[in-house]
Amino acid sequence: MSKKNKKIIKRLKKYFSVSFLSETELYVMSFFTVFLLFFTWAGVSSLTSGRFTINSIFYIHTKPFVWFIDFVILSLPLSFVFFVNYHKIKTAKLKKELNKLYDNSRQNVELAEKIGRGELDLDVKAADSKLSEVLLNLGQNLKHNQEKENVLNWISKGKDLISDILRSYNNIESLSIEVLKKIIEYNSAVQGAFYIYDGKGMLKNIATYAYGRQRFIKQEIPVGKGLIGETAYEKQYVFRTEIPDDYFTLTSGILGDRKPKGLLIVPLVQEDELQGVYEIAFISENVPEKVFTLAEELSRMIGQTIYNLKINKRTEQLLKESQEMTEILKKNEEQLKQNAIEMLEAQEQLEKSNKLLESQIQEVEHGRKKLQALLTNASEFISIYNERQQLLFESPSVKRILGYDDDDEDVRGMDPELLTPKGYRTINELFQYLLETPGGQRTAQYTYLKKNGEKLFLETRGTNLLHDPAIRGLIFNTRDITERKRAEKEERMKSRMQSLSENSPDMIIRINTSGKLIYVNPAVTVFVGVPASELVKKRISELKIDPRFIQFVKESLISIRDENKEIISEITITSSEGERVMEIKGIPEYNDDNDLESILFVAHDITEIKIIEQQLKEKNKKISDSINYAQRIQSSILPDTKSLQQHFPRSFIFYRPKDVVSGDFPWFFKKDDTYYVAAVDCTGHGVPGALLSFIGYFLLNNIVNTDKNYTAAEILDKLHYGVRKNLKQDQEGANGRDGMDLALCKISPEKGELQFAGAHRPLYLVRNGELIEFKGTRKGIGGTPLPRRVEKDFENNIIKYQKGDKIFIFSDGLPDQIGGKEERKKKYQARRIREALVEDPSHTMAYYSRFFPKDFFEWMGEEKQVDDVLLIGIEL
Amino acid sequence: MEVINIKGTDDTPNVILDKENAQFEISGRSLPEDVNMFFEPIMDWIDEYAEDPLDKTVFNFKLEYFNTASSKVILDILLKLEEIVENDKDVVIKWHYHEDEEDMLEAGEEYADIVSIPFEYVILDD
Repeated sequence: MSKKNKKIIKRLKKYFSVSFLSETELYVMSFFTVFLLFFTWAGVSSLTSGRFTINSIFYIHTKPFVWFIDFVILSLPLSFVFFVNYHKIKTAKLKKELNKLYDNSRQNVELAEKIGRGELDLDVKAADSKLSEVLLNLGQNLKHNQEKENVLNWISKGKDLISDILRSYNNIESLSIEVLKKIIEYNSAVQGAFYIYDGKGMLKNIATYAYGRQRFIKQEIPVGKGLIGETAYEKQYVFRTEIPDDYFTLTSGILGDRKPKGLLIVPLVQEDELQGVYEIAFISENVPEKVFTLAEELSRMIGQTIYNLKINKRTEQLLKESQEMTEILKKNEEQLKQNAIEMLEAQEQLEKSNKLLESQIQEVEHGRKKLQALLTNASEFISIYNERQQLLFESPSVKRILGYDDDDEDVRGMDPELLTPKGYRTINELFQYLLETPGGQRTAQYTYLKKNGEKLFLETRGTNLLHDPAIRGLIFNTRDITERKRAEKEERMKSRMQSLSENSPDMIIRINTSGKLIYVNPAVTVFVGVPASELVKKRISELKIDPRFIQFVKESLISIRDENKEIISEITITSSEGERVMEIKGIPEYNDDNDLESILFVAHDITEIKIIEQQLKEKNKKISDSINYAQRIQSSILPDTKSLQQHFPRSFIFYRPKDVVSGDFPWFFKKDDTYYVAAVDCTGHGVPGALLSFIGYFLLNNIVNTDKNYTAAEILDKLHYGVRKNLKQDQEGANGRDGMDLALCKISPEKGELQFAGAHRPLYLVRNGELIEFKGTRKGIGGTPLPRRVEKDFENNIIKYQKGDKIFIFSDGLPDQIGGKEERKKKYQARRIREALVEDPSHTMAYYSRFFPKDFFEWMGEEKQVDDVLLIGIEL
Repeated sequence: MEVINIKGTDDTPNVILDKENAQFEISGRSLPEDVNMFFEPIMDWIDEYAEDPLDKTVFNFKLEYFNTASSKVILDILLKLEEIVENDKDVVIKWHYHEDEEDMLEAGEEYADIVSIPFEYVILDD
């Protein structure tokens, strides 16, 4: 049987169940049905046969109509059962639904009751109806709000608590510890510290509190340093859970292994201005959010209070100061009042005496004007000084006499500023004398500087009239004696000149324009052997003296008349002492109108000088001969272009000593298959340079002759010590600075190797038109060793050269030569050499051998040669 | 101390040594015939100065040219100035040179290598 059929059967069973009938009812119903059936059959039988038997029953059942009636009768009880069951099932269903609805509403009532009572921990599962859902949401919102409210209450309570403390203390120290205590307690922290910012970059720890006990730890932390300093700098609270082990030195002993796990550092600020910091530590690292919110609130609250306290303190101070100030001012005011009264009195007094004075002045003024007129035009001026050397009066004529204008102010006849030191002393002595001598009189002279800078000679006569009641001073009469002085001086000069002339060994003759002798000095008599009286006032042509002299004077007269110029000449004249060589000067003399008046001849005997000059010339010649000879010796040993070209056909030596002999020298040496060439520059030039050059020359020869394996640098080292030893510069107390600079090349053609070492000198190597510079060592050859300094050795350069490489070595004479076409003369410069060497790669050695001398002489132009010049070029 | 003020010639340098006004300068060209004679009073002066120097000495060298012999004397001067440095007083050498005169710069650098005195290099304008 299928499942569906089973279900249908089950359903049919349900609908046709007779379980609702009692047994009696069932029997009654069954009997009634059977009765109805028989009753019907009896009726029908009676209609058909009239009799009722079993047969008639069968018989009537041959008719379908009877079957239909049977069916109707039988269906009656079945229909009844069905209806009864149908109703029963329907009712059961409705009842069930009703129950369900009742349950729902009961639950919702319960929910609502719970919410009403404030039990908000609701079971979400209960939400299976719309109303429940709404209620649940309402409940959750209420719960959330309540939590929020709790937090807010907690924060506001905390704020109230702290605020109470803040209100009740007005001193930072006690305030801070109380606040700290409360914060720790309220936040359930374990310890904390409080810092005050001193406004100068430091945070001062003023309260520390741990586990109910107050601690005092004086600690200062600069802003920006450490956690606290950083917080102070950022002005933002910080919560840290990783706390450095040594962070709280305080805790380590007390807490043992229970170190705080959370640390909250809060800056205290007022309007973004740092006031302090507090920190609190927690045992747990889970610190509720509200603590931070409270911290932020407290940051401002406490900051504001600290700020207020500071301000209060300052205000108190200011108030105190201002009170003190007021006190002082009050006192001063009284003093001032007193003074004002006194001043007023004094002023009245003054006004009275002023009036009196004015009338007196008026009187004096008239008298003064009279005197003024008298004094302004006097040829001398009068000064009156008191005993303290202060000027009381001076006549107005002082300005005119001293060369000043009337509107110049502060002109004084004895102005110390305008007196010479000597004049100042003189005046002081005069005062001294006069003060010591009542009634005394003395005259003194002094110089004074006029306005135009000229010197003025003054004579003053001083008289002590201190005792005279009309004067009561020292009176000085002063006049200008410049002209007198000048005349006196001229007179003196004249007589001095006269005496000079009279005693001069030179002949001095004055002749007027017509050739007449006006004056001769005694020397003339000595020279020409004729007494002066026979010479004066005679014409030169009339004299019996050497005609060569007469001739000279005549010619000079003509020449000076024409050209108005001094002449000087040498002539030989016969004197009483034989032939003398005289140097004669003819000097024109003019009168006041600038016309030629006379000519002064001064003849100086230079015979001796001439002799010495001659000797000097001879000596000089000997010296130059000797130097020239030395030069021949020097040049005989030194290589020249020709000898160098025997080994290096393309090579040249440009050698130009400053003097005849030279401190620079080229050096060339060949030993077996090795060539040595050097450009050497000895200190100095001329003879001393040359002498040094010989030492260098032979030392170099000896060194390379000893061992041909010496490198170029080793040769320089040996030369260095050789020179030092030879010049005894290595001995104590030696002061020798002589030595040499040089560039040395050792050329080994077999190996194709070139070695270079330089003492202050470089090597230029030109390869394919490119220049490579090898700088020498910064060290010279020779010279006294420097104290306390280690000498370095020379550096050796080893160069693999190629055929056609050109090398150039030179002394500093060429680069140092002053010259050039420009206004400001310049040095030739090593750069100019380098530029010439790379100008054109096709330039040959022959070209350079012509170019450098030409360029050097053009550069030098009219300048003198500064030093010996040496340049060696070799093409390898 | 007396003041040394020597006017230069073609062959000798200008020398100003004035302790009172803290002026120390050698300038121009130095190629005297007898270097020792020319520089002797200068060396004597510096010797005396080194006995009691200023707290700070700025010594100017403005040389256009000097010969080898002069170079040794200049070194002597620098060595003397170095003694002042060793006595804990400041010395600065201002070494002036024309920009295009590399040899003068090199000479200065060589001196700076030898003596322990700070050198300042100053380019001279024309």
